[in-house]
Amino acid sequence: MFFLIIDKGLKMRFFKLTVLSTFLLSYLSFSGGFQLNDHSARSIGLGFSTVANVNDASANYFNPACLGQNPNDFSISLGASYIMPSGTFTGFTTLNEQNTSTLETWNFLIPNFYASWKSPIKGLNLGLGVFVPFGLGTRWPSDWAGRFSSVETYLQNIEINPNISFDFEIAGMPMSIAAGYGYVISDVSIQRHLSTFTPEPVLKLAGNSTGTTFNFGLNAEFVKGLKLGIAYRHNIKVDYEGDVTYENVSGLEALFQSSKGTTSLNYPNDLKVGLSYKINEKTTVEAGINYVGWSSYDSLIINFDKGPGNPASTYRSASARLYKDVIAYRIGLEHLCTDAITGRLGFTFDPMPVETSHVEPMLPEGNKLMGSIGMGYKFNNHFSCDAAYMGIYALQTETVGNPNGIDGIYNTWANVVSLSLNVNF
Amino acid sequence: MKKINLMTILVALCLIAVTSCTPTIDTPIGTGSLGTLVNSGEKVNYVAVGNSITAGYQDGGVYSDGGNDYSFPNQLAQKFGMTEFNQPDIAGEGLGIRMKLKGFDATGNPIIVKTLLPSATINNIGLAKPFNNLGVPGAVAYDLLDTSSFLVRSQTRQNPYYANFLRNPLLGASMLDQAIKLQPNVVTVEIGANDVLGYATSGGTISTTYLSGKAVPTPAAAMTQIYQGAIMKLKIALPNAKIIVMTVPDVMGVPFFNVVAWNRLALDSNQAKALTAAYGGLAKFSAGSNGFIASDPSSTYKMRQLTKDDKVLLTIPTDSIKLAGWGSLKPIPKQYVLFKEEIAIIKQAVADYNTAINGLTALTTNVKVFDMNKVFSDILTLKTDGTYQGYAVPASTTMKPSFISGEMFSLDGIHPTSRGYGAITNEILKFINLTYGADLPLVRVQNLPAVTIYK
Repeated sequence: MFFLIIDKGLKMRFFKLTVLSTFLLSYLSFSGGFQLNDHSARSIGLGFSTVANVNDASANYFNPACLGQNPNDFSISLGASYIMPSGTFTGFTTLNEQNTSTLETWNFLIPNFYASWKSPIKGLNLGLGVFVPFGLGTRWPSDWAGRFSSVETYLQNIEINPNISFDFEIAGMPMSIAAGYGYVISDVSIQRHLSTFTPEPVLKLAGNSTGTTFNFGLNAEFVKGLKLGIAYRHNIKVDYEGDVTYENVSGLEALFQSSKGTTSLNYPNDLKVGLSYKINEKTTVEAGINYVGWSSYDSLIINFDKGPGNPASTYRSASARLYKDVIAYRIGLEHLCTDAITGRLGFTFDPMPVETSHVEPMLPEGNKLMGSIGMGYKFNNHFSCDAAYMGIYALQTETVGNPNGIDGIYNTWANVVSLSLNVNF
Repeated sequence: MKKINLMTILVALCLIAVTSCTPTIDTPIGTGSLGTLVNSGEKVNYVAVGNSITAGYQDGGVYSDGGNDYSFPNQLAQKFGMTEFNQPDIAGEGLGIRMKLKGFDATGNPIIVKTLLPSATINNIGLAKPFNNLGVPGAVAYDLLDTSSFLVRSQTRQNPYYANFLRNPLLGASMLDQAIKLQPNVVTVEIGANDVLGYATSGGTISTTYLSGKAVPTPAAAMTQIYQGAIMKLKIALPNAKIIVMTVPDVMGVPFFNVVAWNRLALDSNQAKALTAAYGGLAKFSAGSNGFIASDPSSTYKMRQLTKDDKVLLTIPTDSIKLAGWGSLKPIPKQYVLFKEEIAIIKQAVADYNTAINGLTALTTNVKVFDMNKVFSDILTLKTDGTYQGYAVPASTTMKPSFISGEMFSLDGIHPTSRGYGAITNEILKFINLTYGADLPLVRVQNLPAVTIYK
């Protein structure tokens, strides 16, 4: 005979929730990692290659040493990129019952604002950029296979970036140098399910913070028509203090109590090096590399004031992210079709900054090919606009041996359209 | 010209970007192929015989609507592609006992409500053929062959499952007769745990067998005879059926035997001195944690102090420890503790049973042995850092043997949760894939319920 008689009054002090061994934080975006490059319609049309030849106010972002290349004394540019990411995950064996999960539609409007001014002091240019250097997000279906890792993730950094550049000549060779300061306002939120109970509790973490950084630029025209551009943006360390809250915890309030959570993210430094060559009066080609120091994202540690499931003690979640530095390759071609119309083409290859085994659903990485087409239109001497389309296609990523068991294949792609309006005086 | 070429390439790339989304997969996914599990062209006709694990027992009883839906035989049948697999369909809260977790109190202790369900309506009680799932909770090995009245067995053993699950002797006089009646080509046999578990869960006071008035697990020699008799009966009646016999898990690691620690008697120095004096040197107490005092009928003073090798059972009324002085002022009654000598008897019995089971392959090549014991022992393996190895669930938390939070074991502390049954199902599926060259997809364990909160 085998019956269990358990006393109704049985009470035990025992509960210690095992949180998914790694607490992940990473983001979908359409450069490598969670960096964004979609900061001007002209640059998108040229496959982000713009670093040596940037003749509009977006030089603030791409290379402030090019601020002096703007033919106008004063320029303001307001633009936005609309990013439409898509993605699917198809799990292996134990994950395969629903076969393919599809990212829910979540499109993003990424604004940018630039101003540049040639000061009365000869060669001295001032500029201001406001843009979103890191961001985007992912939202998987709430019943999908990887929900204990990630359901919804969102990150946005807004950077306010004043720059100063100085143009001079050495032995008749035009040169400029620039420096800037960046103030970053960052928002992050993450949402995932916890596995132990039915219905599944939902953990939400939301925080915001600020950080500062700096940047440098260099530009030189060695030979008439051949320019070199170098732009460096320093890494940004942002310390977050956020709120941890729970949903779906009726009856479990004693275990899952709202608390504070702290973490730090070290955003990578970024070095762009490019050459532009003016083939003839109408046509310029530009090519370069973009080194991104993703190894800064080697681990992620989140400290909870009250452990999920065990509020009596603090909880520290640490996970290895194992990102690595990468080099992306850019090339663009700009052609003055008429006095008013400029045509642009661009191509970019962005290798993924992480081993395939460590790709996580929050950030479905892949080696990305990006092709773009764009145009500029000059209404008159004061008004112009730029428009661009970029198609982004990530080569299929097959993740095997993932530390969290989320093995499967990711297919991701995106469409980006971008528009910039420019006012020049 | 050069520019046009570039344009062509770029437009092509843009098109790829918009249209490409069909995944191609290099790593194989279960195709559903049955391999040599059945003859080519045949469909699977599967019957399961066994005890509570086969029945999908959890939270103290068997219930439908989320309970035995997740029994391993039912989950296997789905992967086998069976369109009809009959299990007892129990109305209401279930049959036996139903424990429900209502939540946790302010101090984090679970609030578990228990309902006794000595009878229940079986919606398909009138099914004109045996159930495919013939698992009877509480069944011992001899129940495979026993042709005595199901009703009488239910009454004498205070176990409602014989009468409700085996129902009518016209469907077959014994569990195996009913299995044979369905003419299956795949049979799983999972039995033997209760031949030792009854002994274990009663603190060594109740069992199938008594020697000189003392309870002992069913002797190994008897078990060998029963197992061999059962397999020979199946072999003769079903010469082509594939028979998967499962080893008996060593259950000493489940929460039932580990939630209440042997040394939970917390004393200050004055209490420790007073108790030490009161026991006159028979037991020693010091400030801090101390081993409980338990009743020991076989010793001179009819009591002993527990050591780390002894276990206190989950059934102990903990209020009695607090209020009635159990374990300190008076010994804990024997049925709530297992001494290390008894644990050794249990472990030896399990080892002997499994030796007998492994020997069954000599009787017919149609018998294969699935090592259920290894599934449990892997989960219960203690790693060097003092934590349990557990069962890794892809894309989710590793299941551990800890009570409730571990996800593996249900509120009764012995039987798996639905998610735990999913893990067992997957191990059986892997075994079938390996043994019969099949390619059956696995269960998505992380989507099965662990512990449900009833508000």
